[in-house]
Amino acid sequence: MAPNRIRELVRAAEASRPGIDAVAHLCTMAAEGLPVDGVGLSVTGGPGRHSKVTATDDVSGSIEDLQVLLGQGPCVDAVATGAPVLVPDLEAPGVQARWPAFLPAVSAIGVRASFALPLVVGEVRLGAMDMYRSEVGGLGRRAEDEAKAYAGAAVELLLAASHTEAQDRLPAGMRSGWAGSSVVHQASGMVMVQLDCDIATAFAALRARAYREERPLADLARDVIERQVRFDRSAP
Amino acid sequence: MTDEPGHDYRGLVPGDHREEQVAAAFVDLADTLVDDYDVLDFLHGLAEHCVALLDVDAAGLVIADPAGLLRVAASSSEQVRVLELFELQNEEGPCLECYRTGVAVSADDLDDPDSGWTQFAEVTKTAGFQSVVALPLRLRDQTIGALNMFRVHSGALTSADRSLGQALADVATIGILQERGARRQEQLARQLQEALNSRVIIEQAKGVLAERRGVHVDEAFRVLRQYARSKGERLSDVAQRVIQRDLDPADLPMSEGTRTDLR
Repeated sequence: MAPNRIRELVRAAEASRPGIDAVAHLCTMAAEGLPVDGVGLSVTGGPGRHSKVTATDDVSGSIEDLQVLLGQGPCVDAVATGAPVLVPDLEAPGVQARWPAFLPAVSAIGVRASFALPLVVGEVRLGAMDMYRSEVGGLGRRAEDEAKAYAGAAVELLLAASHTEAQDRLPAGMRSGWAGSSVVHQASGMVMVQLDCDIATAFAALRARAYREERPLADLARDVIERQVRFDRSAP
Repeated sequence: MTDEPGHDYRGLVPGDHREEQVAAAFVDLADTLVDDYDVLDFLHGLAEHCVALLDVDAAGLVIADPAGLLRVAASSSEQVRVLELFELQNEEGPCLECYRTGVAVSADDLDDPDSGWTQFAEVTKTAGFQSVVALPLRLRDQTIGALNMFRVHSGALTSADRSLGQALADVATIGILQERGARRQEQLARQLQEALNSRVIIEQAKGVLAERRGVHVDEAFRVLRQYARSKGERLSDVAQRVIQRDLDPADLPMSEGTRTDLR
């Protein structure tokens, strides 16, 4: 993966469409640029809670829907473990036992190989990008790295899309790099304890509140750190 | 190395024991040749060495992530106001310029209107710093980040400090590349990404610890590091266990200076 490959992809996806639509466009770019037949993306709202964001074709759409419905599949595992789940042959021994309900359903619609890449920010798992092939076979080293770059770009776009409005209100010097901002991650850790939840839920709660209160995420995070804002019921 | 070298060395005139201190920095580097070493702990130590060895008051190692954003990998100070000075430079500042051009960039007096970076200068002065230097982390023809140093006073670094600073910046680059397999270009991006991801995990764990123990996030890093060192574990592994609740923050030792209850 070239160091700036993710940024290139983000720019290319954003150039043609703004906001959350850029995520859909990125998936189309991935489907065209990688040796796969379709790409889908879903996000998670906590363990076992997934929802489809986009898919490039009907089969990819069904793969996302099935995993949401059945609570099993490569994307579910990728989110649970935070690691890519690459299955070049879905009929290989042992695969059947792993996803007993999901496999027959996708086999019936012609899916033969599946590659799921988690969308992660630190320990936070936002969701997964799912790619499929209608023929057996792996991605190969180079395409695998490229697929990871697409997943990295998807993370950037998802985060940017959920905060475009709040970002615009920030002073110029504080606008950038919010996902890399230390205070946001520190505050997520504090909120995790306050809400007695996992880190992904805490991160989502922080983002949701910033969005609701129409304020920059880093601003809210700073208030959490300085103990001006709490997320539990004992809030002043 | 003690837990607070930045403070321990305050009384020293820069130059005293300098050779020993330089030697110490390189001994740390030798440790990175061992399998499974902790790159973040190493970089943190290096940032502390900079403050001890050079006439600077804060130092940070900033690395560009695969999206080209400058992110803090380690800092001599874990104070939020200092960490934010590094991150702020994704818009403007010496670090960004140094990363883009690959050469050293400095501002000897932030009151000088010609230094540019209006907003960066304002925030930096508010944080208590008057001059700033950024030295490139270079790998062959590529710049992967910068060693960014801040000084309370105005004025340029001596040429000796500047050379030693660049040597330490090179040590940082070598340390990062020492990670197994990182010598190949396509693996470099992955290694950098992993290091930065570990840093995110540490920030999250600092928050958990701050909330559980009623301390400020600025203090939480020291508790994590002390525990990791005493158990011979990697910082990022300890942080990950804290987030996954495999490690109860109540089991971590309380270090000096973290006893203040802020609630």
